[in-house]
Amino acid sequence: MAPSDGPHRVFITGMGVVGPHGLGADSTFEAVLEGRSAVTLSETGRDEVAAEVLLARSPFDAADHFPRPERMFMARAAAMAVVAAEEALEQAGLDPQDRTAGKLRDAGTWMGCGLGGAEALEDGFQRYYQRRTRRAPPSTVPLIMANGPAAHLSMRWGLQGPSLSYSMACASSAAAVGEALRALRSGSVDRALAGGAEAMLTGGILAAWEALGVVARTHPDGPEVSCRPFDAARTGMVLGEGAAVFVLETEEAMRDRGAEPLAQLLGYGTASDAHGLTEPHPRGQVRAMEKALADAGISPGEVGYVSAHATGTHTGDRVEAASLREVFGDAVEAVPVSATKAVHGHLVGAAGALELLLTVQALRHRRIPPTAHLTEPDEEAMGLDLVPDAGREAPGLEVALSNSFAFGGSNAALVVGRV
Amino acid sequence: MNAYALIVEKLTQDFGVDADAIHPGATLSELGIDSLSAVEFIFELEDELGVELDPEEAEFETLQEAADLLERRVEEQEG
Repeated sequence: MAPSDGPHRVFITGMGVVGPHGLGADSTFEAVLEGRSAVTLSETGRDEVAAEVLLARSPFDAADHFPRPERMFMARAAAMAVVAAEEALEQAGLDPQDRTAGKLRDAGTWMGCGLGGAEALEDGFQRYYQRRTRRAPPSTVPLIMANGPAAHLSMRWGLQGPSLSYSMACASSAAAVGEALRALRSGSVDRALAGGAEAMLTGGILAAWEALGVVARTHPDGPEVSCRPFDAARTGMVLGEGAAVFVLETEEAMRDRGAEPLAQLLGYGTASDAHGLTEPHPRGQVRAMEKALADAGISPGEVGYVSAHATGTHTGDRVEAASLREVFGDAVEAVPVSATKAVHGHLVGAAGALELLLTVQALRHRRIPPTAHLTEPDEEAMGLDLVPDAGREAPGLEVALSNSFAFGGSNAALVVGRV
Repeated sequence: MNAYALIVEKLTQDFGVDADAIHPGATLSELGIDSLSAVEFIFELEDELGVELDPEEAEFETLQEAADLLERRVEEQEG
């Protein structure tokens, strides 16, 4: 159907993921619900720069999905995005093989990505600085560009609507989904692929992350329990990689083809800390959450679950706890809050999308994933219901909030409702 | 050194071209290789043969012409 004047209600009708727990929205949710950690001590670099780094790598191998001619100009992040989108389209009942039916032709693409083809960037530097050659593969630029994932989705399925990429570090994909919500709501498009992709676990880039002093140290009980959001013994974040993609549709477009929704995308809020590059401030986080709730027409008391951004850094988790207290007030202790990065790590440009996917699963199944490895909550998090030890049933769960807060002070929050 | 054999191998193994479609008079565009893939194709051949073609001399139409160019460049370099 043709787009028309809004505001339209917007629904999620399909979703897919490629991440540290492999492929598939259902198996990923099961793993996270069980608190099964994908974090390992992983070898990076070679020779004098070889190092073992805590990572949540994805078992994904692009060669299993794409022949060499297709992979040639497709970075790892983009390949993950395409496979995640295939799952989302299939679940939505939109035939990925059918480019001519028109259901996808007018759709848009909204993707978040922090760094693009990190492996091509590093390979290019290696050639230039180490092998001392100015001869770079012609594929380098198409691989590096951060809008690669969005471009591949648009090209693969003939999506001729907007193809937009958002790069605000850890909030990239939450913002991408939120901006897609606005476009659909307004009626400028009626169908979209939205999400995020990130794959930057290369030696040089990991060394740079370590230099910031935000990466976790190996816990005495083992690498797998080293990412400990809100725990007093937390030492930092663990980087992960992956992609998560949603099919979003207006109510009319969805009903028109007889599709069923997984959840309703209710609201989006974004705000800047206007404070520090790496140090968060509650004011931006609070504004983002409050705007998202207002956008959804939901009061804080109606929120039944919060998927925290909580990466496991000292400052980040402390500030988020303070922000949650401000938004929810005295009622904060009644809202379950979990930090799933404990088991899937921090997917940076794909983090918001993966966590929204888990939040949608929590609503659908009315089961809340735990904050794994939480043995002794930090002082700032005392009194919060952090869902320690194990996931739990949530029979009355109707509305949830998913937070994404980024370096640079960009914050995005999404509100999603059960259908 | 048989540059033509290398070209055929690369086209079939890395660029997904059907071996039956390949013949010395074929052009890259006839084989479905777009302009971006074509520059990557030449780059990879140069890399494997350890030579570099000047952009002006890298002009060719057919696979045989490309093979001849590459072989000449290898000979010049070795000579």
